[in-house]
Amino acid sequence: MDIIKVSHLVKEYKKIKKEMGLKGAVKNLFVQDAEYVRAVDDISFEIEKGDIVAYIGPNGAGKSTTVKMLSGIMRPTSGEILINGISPQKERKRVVKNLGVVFGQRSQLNWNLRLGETFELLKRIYQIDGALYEKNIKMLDEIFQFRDFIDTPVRQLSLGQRMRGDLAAAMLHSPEILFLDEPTIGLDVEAKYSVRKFIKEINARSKTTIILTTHDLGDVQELCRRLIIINDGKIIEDGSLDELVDRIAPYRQLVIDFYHPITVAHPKAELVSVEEARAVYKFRKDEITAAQLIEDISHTAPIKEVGLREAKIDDIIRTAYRGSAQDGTLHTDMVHGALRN
Amino acid sequence: MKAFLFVTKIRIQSALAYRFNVISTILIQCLLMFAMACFWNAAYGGTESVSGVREQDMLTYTMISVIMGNLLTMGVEGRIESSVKSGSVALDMLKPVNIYGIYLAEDLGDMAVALFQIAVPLLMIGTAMFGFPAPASAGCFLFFLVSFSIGYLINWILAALLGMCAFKVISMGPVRNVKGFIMKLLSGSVIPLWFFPERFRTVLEFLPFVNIYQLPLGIYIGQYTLEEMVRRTALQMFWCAALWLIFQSVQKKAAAAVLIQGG
Repeated sequence: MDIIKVSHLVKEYKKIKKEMGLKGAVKNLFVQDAEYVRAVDDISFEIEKGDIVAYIGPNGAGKSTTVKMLSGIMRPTSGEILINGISPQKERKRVVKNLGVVFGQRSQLNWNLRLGETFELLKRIYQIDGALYEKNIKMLDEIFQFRDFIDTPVRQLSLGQRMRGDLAAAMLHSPEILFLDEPTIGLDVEAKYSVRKFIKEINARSKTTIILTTHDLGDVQELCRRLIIINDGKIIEDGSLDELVDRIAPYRQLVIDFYHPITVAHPKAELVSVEEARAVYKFRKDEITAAQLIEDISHTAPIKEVGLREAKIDDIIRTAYRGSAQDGTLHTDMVHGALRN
Repeated sequence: MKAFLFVTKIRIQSALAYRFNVISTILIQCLLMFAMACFWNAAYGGTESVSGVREQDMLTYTMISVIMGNLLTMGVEGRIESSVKSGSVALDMLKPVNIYGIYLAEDLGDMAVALFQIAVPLLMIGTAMFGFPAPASAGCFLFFLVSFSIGYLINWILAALLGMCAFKVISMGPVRNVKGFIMKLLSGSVIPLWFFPERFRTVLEFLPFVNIYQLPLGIYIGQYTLEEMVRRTALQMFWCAALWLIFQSVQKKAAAAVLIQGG
């Protein structure tokens, strides 16, 4: 079942051109040239219940604008959004009742209150039934372990603790959908690891649909089954990460150390380099498996050690971003460059 | 509703934590009260009554006016402006609750705190200096309470309307201070309307500001007949309702024009 349906979504901003300099500033007081910018340009997608989807793109691609429209804060210029069959623009309150939102850069916790007080306030705002509230607090505490700092004023919490508090606060009313906007920004390795673990656990336990915008591709790799890449307001990729990797970087490299310097050729793999007893082969994943290649080569010469190199996720995504900017031609050489290291 | 009450409650709780603020406010307000009392004392210069108002009534008017000023401080303007500036307005709008209701609940919480922490001490100090500012009669006092409450709402809506300009202009600069001064002057909080020239007064009577200070204060010191009190309070209610309607329509427009800073 599709919990989120977006069709032909467009958001245009009116941007007033400001001229530079004092002369320009004076001129702007009297004449203003408006120009229209399409932040989101005809986007359509569906998201299934219980899925974790990464919604990524370079800065200014239109990610936040989309999320704001999905949550009903902003009105689209045209197009339609349905969340559980309801339009957030028409019935904001009904939609947001079923929504949890966490901004990594902006806390929804009140600075002056203790964490527990914020929870109490949210309980009243969302009109959470007493028994359900107790149950949720207990479950969320198992995941986020906030008992130790529930009575600490929010301003005294560490960033990691605050993030846990923010995530718990967003989940308190058991929303079906969770928007996470850069949930791991600024966190140390340990805190990042636990936040990812929490997100997975929430998704597994309550079948919460999660939409994640992030610049940390580790988040994407760890968490997301599906990836939507947006650039210049348009969707340029939509599918699983594996599919994307296969398409953008279909090559892998196999490094083989033989016992003696030797050159062994293979019809389905290109020999990239031979240095003493080490040979590097480049092959397409869809043509031959690494295991097959190793087996074939070992028939000719005994193998001491093998290593497999794959393109780095960062480079793949970067290629995808660039690809859209330059007439769809992929910068495969960049991905290959990454393979060489 | 529960959410609003809870907001008021925690607002009171957290305000009680700031002691220094309270002491400095009381000191400054005492000075203000003293200065204004001296001013009226000099202005009367021994004259029994001016425009039918005795000097003692004028002292009462001044004391109650200063106390009211502390109860009518509105956080809503600043709250809207700063949340539009910082972009946290987006978070507020993600809650299934009327954010203006939350803002009002916060301001009412602040007023409750000011009532005990500032109004009561001011009243005691004022009494010690100039005698107890007694209302003209028990009936007048009841009418004053009603009129003060409606005046509070009018003042709040005006503040909220000004605050919502922030959606359009983002930074309001000193507009809020200017509004504060104009309001103080036009509402009769410093100088009652009956001391203004005839023509000016007629204009002011038609504006909503007089309903915030002048009307409740006039009722308190017994300036009006019963008939007049009823008529003026009805007019005050009309203003409140009219402003409420304007507020509702502006609120819808502001929500549509939301523009969020910083991504």
